[in-house]
Amino acid sequence: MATVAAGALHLGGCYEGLPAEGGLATATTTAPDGDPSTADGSDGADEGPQGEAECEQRTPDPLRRLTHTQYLRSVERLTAVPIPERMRNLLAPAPAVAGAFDNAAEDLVLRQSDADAYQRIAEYVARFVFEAEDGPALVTCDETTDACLDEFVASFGALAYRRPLDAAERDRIVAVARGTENAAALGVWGPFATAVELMLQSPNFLLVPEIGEATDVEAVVQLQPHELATRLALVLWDEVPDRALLDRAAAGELDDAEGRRRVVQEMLADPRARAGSMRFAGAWFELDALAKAPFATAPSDAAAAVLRSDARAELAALLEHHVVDGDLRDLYLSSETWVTPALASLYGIDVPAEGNAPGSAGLLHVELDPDARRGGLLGTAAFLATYASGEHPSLVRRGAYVRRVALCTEPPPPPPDVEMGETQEDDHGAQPECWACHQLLDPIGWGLDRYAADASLRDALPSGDPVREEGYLVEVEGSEFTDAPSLGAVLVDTEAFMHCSAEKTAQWVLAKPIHMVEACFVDELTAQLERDGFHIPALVARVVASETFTLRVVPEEGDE
Amino acid sequence: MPRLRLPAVRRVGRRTFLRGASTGLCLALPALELLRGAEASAAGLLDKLVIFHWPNGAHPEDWAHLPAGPIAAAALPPMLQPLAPHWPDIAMLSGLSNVAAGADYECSSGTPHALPTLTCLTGAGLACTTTNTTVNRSVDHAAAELLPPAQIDSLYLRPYGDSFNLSYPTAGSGSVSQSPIRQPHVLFSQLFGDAGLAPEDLERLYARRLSVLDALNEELTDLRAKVGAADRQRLEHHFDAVRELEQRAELGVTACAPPKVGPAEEPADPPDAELPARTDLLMDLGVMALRCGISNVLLFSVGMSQGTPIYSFLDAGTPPHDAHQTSHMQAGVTVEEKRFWWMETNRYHIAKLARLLDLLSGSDGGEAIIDRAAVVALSEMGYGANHVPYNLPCFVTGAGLQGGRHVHHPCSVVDPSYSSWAYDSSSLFCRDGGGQTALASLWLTVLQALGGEVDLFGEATTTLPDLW
Repeated sequence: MATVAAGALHLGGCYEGLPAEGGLATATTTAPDGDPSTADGSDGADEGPQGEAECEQRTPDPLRRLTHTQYLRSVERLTAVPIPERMRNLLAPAPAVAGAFDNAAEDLVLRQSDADAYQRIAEYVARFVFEAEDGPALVTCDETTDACLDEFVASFGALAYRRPLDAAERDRIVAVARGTENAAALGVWGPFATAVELMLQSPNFLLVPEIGEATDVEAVVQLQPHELATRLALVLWDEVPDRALLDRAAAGELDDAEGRRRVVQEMLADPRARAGSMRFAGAWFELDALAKAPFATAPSDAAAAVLRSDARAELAALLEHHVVDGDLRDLYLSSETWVTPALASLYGIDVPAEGNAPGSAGLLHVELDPDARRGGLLGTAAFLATYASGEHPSLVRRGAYVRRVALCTEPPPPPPDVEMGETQEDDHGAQPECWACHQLLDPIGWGLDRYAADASLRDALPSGDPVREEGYLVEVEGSEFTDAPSLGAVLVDTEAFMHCSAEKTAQWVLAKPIHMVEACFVDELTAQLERDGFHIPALVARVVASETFTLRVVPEEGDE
Repeated sequence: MPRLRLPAVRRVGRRTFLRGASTGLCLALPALELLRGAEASAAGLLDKLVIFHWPNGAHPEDWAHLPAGPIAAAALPPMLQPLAPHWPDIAMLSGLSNVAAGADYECSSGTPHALPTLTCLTGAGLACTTTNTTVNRSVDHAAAELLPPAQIDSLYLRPYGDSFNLSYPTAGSGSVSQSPIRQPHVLFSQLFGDAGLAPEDLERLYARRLSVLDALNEELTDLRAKVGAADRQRLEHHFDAVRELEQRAELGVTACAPPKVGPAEEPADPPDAELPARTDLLMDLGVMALRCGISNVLLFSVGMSQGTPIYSFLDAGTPPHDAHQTSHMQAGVTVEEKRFWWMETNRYHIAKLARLLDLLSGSDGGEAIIDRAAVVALSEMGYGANHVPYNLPCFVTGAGLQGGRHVHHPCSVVDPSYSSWAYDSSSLFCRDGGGQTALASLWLTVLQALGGEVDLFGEATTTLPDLW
């Protein structure tokens, strides 16, 4: 199939209207202002011994805090206390930023509203640990001795702060713990609980300081071993490093490429890596947003809520099988899925009488027939029903999602003073200034028009008109498709798909918005994708084991 | 959804506080009369600010086109009828424009909704690069600095949504917005989370918190010494957060007896049909917080401008589109239907404003605080269908303001190409030819009414006459 090279769409230009000739303006993949990549000399950058991505990153790494999920997971890991939903809800999500995942460092600033939550959670957790009936599992020394508190602060602190505390730090914490009273019910454990409250609110725990050591290059520092261990754990496990990893780092196992590769492979084999990968997959494919489908045509609010929950579970199962494991392309091509009876009914498919998919309680594994017109992410209720209003699916927003997550070619929003037309949204073709951008979106929605607002199959629109039967990607010749599976087949065959997959991976692992990721870096990763069999964790491993990942570019004042 | 029963709250008074940083103590003091509040009331001064916000503007024929001057409540059009009982105390202001938002549409952080939202309460244009936006501090936080200290500077509530935030606690580059609280049980925890404890336990708690916060300040100071200039800038947010917690611990617990039972846990965003109930509950708790002195500033928004629910609970039935699309004149087939649904959407918003005014007036048997409060209700856009931040719908009341009138301010929509297929364009956009009146002037007026000796807010140096 003839394809157009990735990056051939200069999307900022779609505001400028249709070009004089047919086809679209072309440009190389660039930063949003349209300048060519400034990666001079890094085209064909040297690859490391095993094809590591070695293009230099020159954009700064701002000081960040832990994301909310990293914070919660880390607190639970450090204290073995499960944090209840009502306390987790005290942490408000930060507003979404276009072009960035929610782990982008520059947006991870501590907010006043978070500080109240950290305080309450720390106090709750400390209380829970030290009111435990059998005594706190965290303390292994004899609590009646003076030295025990010091010992506990040193060992808990070393894990929470990811480095040994110096004497002054430790003494300060001990002085506060001894100098104030905690709840009477805690008795002798009071000072221990206070110490935990303090350490779990410490900037050394909540933030990720990367002080590093100077290198020959100005403003670039080499991360210290514990700082690199922290970066690895946050990306691969979505939590702070454990004792074993910190010890390995201190022993020098992360000091060379071979050592890093070995440690990373072992980290990926650890069960915690599933959580880390699922976090990435959820952010990339917007799992939380796709759990909010209105299902306005469901018979009741309760039925809609059930469908939402089931739809999310199906999508999570697909992500787990094809992004956390397996081959990313199967996310679009696979003929199997995992459904509940309610979803099966919605999809109009039969499910086998028994059988749970492994690890997906309540979901039934199904092999789909081609004429079911399901299969893959794009046939799911989670995707199709989320972008709908009332009884109308939204062609434009379905198209926007596909462009955003699969091709990384979503056009910018409409200009500010454009008033929406009198006509329904599928008449953008009548207005040339709208069509310049809408030609990227609407035709995708047309090809999915046979899926109603609730994702069920239909032959006609609510108005009685027939559904549109065919869609296409405007920049790709021969890309006509008629349903979700055929759209999936078209997508995975494009270079844009490959490039986008690498882009998303780089964005996540480097914790940067896309315009801060060097283009050459993404190009190198794209080249590796096929070699890695589109296995995303392998691609992640390449990035985190690379030399790039051991360095920090220190921002200049005013960068922020 | 059970409605939280408001207790009959009597203002027992507030503890005075000692700046206990050196002693780390917060002594238990007998309840004292709130001298400042009593004095303030007696002097007719304002010590509360309430801002009510709804998204995406309003149907101009139902407000801006009313004649300037006195208006009888009986003459209010359908959209404004819920305000009839309070109308004698309400002044409707037209012609105010968020000129700061008009300055640079490129600086819009991704959508045309962002710029009017970011500048609505901040009164200043944005300076931005691709990585970073500079904003001014918003008026709710500026007001909190003028008013007596309270545990929470600005209580920002909204029943759903995690984007398009109005409130900015600090000015400057890379400034972060304050997220509104959307879940009633989370709000209850922030307002009354400590209140179930016995007084001696509370004393111990606050003493310990102050001591911990002191140590955290020292740790932050150590860290600041080790990092570069850019990191130090980011650490300032952390220092600010610690200061806010210190302020809360120093002020002690609210003097109000909190409700015995808190609200049930709810998910972050409610199902569409439950939106009104959650809105009401948040509103009840917000007014309680004002009465109890936990905060002196309430910023209450009924919704975001995008990602809106379908208002399936309107008196007229369920609109065919969500609230945002409705404001884009997409709800229905004929022009009349589309106008109707937008008007009904805003009638709902105005009804919530009326409910808030009822509570502030003590309709529930609780303390009436409206005489001590400057109240402003507005939207961040005028004609929402094309996101125009000119001629914003705006209502002011409180503190004995003389109402029952429409005050028109000079207004000129700058771009002559603005037009509409849904309304008569010539009457839609104000074209006095008499220049602009900046929304920021209203905020400057508010700050001066609250006792601030300020002559600048955002880009405004002039005030609006004849309000409070």
